[in-house]
Amino acid sequence: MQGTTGRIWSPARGYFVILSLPVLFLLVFFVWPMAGVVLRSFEGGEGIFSQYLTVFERSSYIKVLLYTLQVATTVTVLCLLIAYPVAALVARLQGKWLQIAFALILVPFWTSTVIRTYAWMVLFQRKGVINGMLIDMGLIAEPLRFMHNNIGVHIGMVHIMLPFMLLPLISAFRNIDPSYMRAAGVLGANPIRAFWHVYLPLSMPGVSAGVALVFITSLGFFITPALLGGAHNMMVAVLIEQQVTITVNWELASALASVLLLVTAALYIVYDWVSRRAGGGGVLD
Amino acid sequence: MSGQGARIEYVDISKRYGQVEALRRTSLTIEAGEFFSIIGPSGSGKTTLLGVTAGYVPPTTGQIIIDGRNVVGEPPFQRNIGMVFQNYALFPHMTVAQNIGFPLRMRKTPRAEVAERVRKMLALVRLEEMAERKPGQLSGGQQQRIALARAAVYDPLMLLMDEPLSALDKNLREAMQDEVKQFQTVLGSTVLYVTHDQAEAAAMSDRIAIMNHGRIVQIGSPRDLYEHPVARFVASFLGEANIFDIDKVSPHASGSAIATRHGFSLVSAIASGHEGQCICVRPEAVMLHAQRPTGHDNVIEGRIVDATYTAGSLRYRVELASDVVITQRTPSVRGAEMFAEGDRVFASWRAEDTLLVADD
Repeated sequence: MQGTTGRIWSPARGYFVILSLPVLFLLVFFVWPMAGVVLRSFEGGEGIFSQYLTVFERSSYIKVLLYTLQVATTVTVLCLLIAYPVAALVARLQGKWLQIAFALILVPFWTSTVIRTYAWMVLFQRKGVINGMLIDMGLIAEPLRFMHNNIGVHIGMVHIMLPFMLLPLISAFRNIDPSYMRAAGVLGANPIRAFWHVYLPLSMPGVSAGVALVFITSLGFFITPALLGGAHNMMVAVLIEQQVTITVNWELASALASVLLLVTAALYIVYDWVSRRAGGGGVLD
Repeated sequence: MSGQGARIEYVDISKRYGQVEALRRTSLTIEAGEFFSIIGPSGSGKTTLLGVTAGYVPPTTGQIIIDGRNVVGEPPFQRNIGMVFQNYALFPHMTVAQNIGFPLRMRKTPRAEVAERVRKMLALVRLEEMAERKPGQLSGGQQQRIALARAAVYDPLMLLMDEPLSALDKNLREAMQDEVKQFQTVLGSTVLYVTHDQAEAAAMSDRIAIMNHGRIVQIGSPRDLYEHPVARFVASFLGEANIFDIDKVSPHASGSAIATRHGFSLVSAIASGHEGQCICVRPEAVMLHAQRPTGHDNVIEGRIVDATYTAGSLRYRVELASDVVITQRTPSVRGAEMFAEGDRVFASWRAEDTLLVADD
């Protein structure tokens, strides 16, 4: 052995130093509490899986999980359908108009979700703006129910989630070189076929990112479902909150949260695999 | 995959963007099977002419008649024109074979025929083994050949090429010039080639149009343009040129006697026609002598300010007057003695090489 004591410098060592702080932060404030939640879900009953048995034996809990998946799926599809044409338009803007478009997307994005959800409540109430207008116009006699049901949750969540779909889509569209569409045209593709064969496939990375972002955020969404949703249609985050604050059953709440975590992770892995296979590029790229 | 390209006739074609006249009224005919290049600086209107031909830039006035049919007003996808783009624009999500087959599939060609024609095209550009690769996995030169194959696979009426070699490095660019030219010869296509590289255009073209400020300044064979430029712009854009400003032109036994603004007079074989002209002398028309030569038409004393040896040729910069430095070029002969910086020399050239061109 040679007696070299001096360490050889390498860029990897530099990265290690830079990364150690955020990694430490995440370990203490994210991984540790999350592990605590998962561990707690195995406590407080006969056998370590008793909380999970409760979750899967009670049809009302299963219903909440299924409803959560359904709402997240519907909200994601609606966001994609609304955001795709808007993003395609915004991506073509230049200069001042691009700035205006971004302001219109970002100002609501930066406004607190609580405030925006309360704003919807003002509009949706029995004697709210929308019902008042419809009654004054003589279109309806009795106020319509917009809140504490499916409609309110969907409208509110689509509104809140839209920027999460728009921003990755705009970014992906701006990365599509206009010469591809020009080439498709000169080579004989009419605008519809050029879109279908060239633009749509090239936009798939943005679609992947936007869909994953909206769907996963929607699964665990709390504020809007809590304020606009009804007692009959409860999303899982609201149920977990109830277990903690009303029933004070931390163990069951932990089990529900762990199930949500597992479902989210599983769906994400499947989704990433599918979008990779489809050639759109995985979200993890 | 054989057959002759079409004849293209531009009649009074022009394009205006607001107050900017990108292309002034231009009439031009490109013959069937001709390799026709357009050169000019950026903003000269060459790219506009290309866009108008492909169909994605609607012209303000005029007609484009391809094989007797006016195509102005037809969208690009109905024109049946092939195009090679500056950055190739190969679709990154399709394989090489799918890229080449794309125009055929858009024309609803039967599957078996698509496969057959793609295979033939790949053989023509010698990239059969790359059929299943994605464009991103190919080198610049290979992408270039695929772009050519895709543009020609459907027997288009003509091929448009928008600076197709500008992304390649110098050696590859020169090899690809031969490749493009050979490709065109085999297919017999009419090619409209746009570039800002005059050497590239000269090496490949049957005829060249030089554009400046939205109009064609001169059309001719590469040799025509080099040896008989009509304007100062043409003279200095195509190759190197020594330009002298004229003070006064008077008749002379062998053409015209010209007093320059630089304190010396010259003799030209060309009789002066009109005012507003200047003189162009090509670098290889100039000869340098250590002693004053006799019997030469134009002899001017000067001083070498720069002497360069480049592969195969000698290049001198000679100061003839306080504000006039000319370039001189001769093929280098092995062991030939070079002039050194500061040497007194006599520059001479023939009256026939003293070209009178319009000053623009």
